[in-house]
Amino acid sequence: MIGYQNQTSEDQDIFGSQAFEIIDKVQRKPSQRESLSKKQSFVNKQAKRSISAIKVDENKMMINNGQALKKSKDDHPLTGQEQLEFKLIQVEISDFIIIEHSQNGKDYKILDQNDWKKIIKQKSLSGYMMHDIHVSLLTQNLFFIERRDIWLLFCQIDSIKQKIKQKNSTFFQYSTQDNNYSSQIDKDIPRALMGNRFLNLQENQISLKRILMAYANYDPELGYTQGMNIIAANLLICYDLKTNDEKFLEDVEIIDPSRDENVFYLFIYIMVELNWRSVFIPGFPGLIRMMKVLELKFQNELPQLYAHFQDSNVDLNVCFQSQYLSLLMYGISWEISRMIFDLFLFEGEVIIHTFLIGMLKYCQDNLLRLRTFEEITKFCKSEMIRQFYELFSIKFVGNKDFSTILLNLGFIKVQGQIVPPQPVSPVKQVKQNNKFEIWKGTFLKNFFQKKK
Amino acid sequence: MSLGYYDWLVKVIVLGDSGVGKTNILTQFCDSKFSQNYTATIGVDFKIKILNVQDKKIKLQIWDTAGQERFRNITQTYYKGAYGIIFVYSLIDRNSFNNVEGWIKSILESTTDEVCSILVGNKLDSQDRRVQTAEGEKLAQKYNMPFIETSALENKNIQDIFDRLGQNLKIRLENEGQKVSNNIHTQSGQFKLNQEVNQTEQPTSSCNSC
Repeated sequence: MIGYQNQTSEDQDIFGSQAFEIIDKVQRKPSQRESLSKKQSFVNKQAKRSISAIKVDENKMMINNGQALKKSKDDHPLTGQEQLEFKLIQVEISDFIIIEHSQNGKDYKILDQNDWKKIIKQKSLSGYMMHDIHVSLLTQNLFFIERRDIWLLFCQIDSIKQKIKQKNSTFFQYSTQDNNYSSQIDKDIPRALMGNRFLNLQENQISLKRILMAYANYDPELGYTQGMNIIAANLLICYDLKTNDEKFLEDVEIIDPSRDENVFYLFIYIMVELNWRSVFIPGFPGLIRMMKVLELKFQNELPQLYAHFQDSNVDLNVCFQSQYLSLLMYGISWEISRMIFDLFLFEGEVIIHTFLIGMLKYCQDNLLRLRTFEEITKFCKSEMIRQFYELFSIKFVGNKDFSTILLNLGFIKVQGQIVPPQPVSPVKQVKQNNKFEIWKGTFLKNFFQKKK
Repeated sequence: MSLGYYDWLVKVIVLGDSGVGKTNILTQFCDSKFSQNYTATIGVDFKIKILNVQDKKIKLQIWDTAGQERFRNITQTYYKGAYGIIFVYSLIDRNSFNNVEGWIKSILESTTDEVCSILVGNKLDSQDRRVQTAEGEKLAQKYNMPFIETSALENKNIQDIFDRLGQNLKIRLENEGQKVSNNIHTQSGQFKLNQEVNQTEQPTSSCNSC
């Protein structure tokens, strides 16, 4: 089945990018990813695997390195750190080889509500495959009641609570302590979410202020940097029951006293455990590193488009810095942010790069048509994001092309059929020609009847 | 020639504290809009607008920057090659006025080129003024730049900022003549003079340069 082929032999032009069947050469041992505690350092594991692979694939690396040096910007030799980063990415890419069209790739089993409930109950992912969860999260097949618990589980909230306890502190103490960032935070609260009424409510503004102040006190080395307001505000709105509920629980009053505190813990997980704080600390070391990773991935996965950007003198920093500083949430709707959180809390930094590369792949043809850096930059900052997320507003469950879309955009590495969950409760069958039904307003209704 | 014809392409940057209205000034000038509901600028962004100064067309590439102090080491990268600078403070935020000199110094540190600057006191619509007109004038005099008070909300004097800046830019560009095009070209590869561009924005006015 596996055969080394030339790229040119398969020119399926779908979604503007060449479609290849790519398979993960590294055998994924199921045991490797069984328990949640092991999942904890998922991102690290990727790196470890890559480092060990460097030794094995020394010859391959030599060639790759040669290319890297040749292509390095300004003809400066790469630093040791840069070379390592490049190696990591090269290996990640060399893990995949191009194979023939696969007739019987693997299946992706979409988790249903009972699966999620089981995970919450057993407080572990054991019994479930990482790639099934990955695809399930992409299809947005997670209902908000479960989502809240799943998020708390992904974030190992108990261990974060424990750490705070050890410092003899509480969320309340952190949130009431004053600091130098207070006036900057005040300025940024009303402008953290674009076009949403959530923050018009005084009580939500106060909650957001509390969370950001608490974090600034919890992490004094960082304090507060603009962009954190956007992430925290999106976390709050996505975690908020009323926002998630209002579509069908209109007459129910919701009392949720631990909302802010839990959002604070989730925010700590993002900033500290997933190390997004490195993006924001003075000097922006994480931002600089991530921009390098993005550039290398871009160069490797979309060489033609990358060359076009180079020729047009496009500065990737101008196009994408704000995406990293806002965790892709700059000016998008909270429903999309919710999906980004689902995946990011589960997978960490790597998914953010995947999203950005996916956008570029999705819009490659349009981008190739634009000629000046002004047009390209403008497109990358608005139209590309809009077009790309539109893709996620269509109904994925039951859409046969979904697997191909995910493969072409780099969200999955292996072509496989996506198996929707067996309907437990009466799920409305999607009509054939309504396959691309707009999710908003209809998605939730498919799973829950509005109370009468 | 296409509608995108222009005589000069000039890079302008807008600097000032967070929340003084930099983005709103730009949006009002470039898109004739004011948004009450907007997101704080993070990192850098830019807008394009063609400005008519007498018989000349100046294409302004205006860079908008994040105001928080710690973003300076990102935004300073984009100071390079700027020919015009708009320093903005808010009339209702005393601190933002006190910090203007800091912004001016950050420019002096990072660029040796002479630039056309203007000082803008924004939020003229507000009743809660904390900085007097005379203070703004005095500061502008000290650094030898024009001064103007504006309201992005009410679109008051916004066009004037760019008209006055444009006048000075034109004088400077004409004096420098050919030298400019060389300078701009070497400072940043992305600036090309007199190129034809697929214009996506509204053409400003009479564009019969064909």
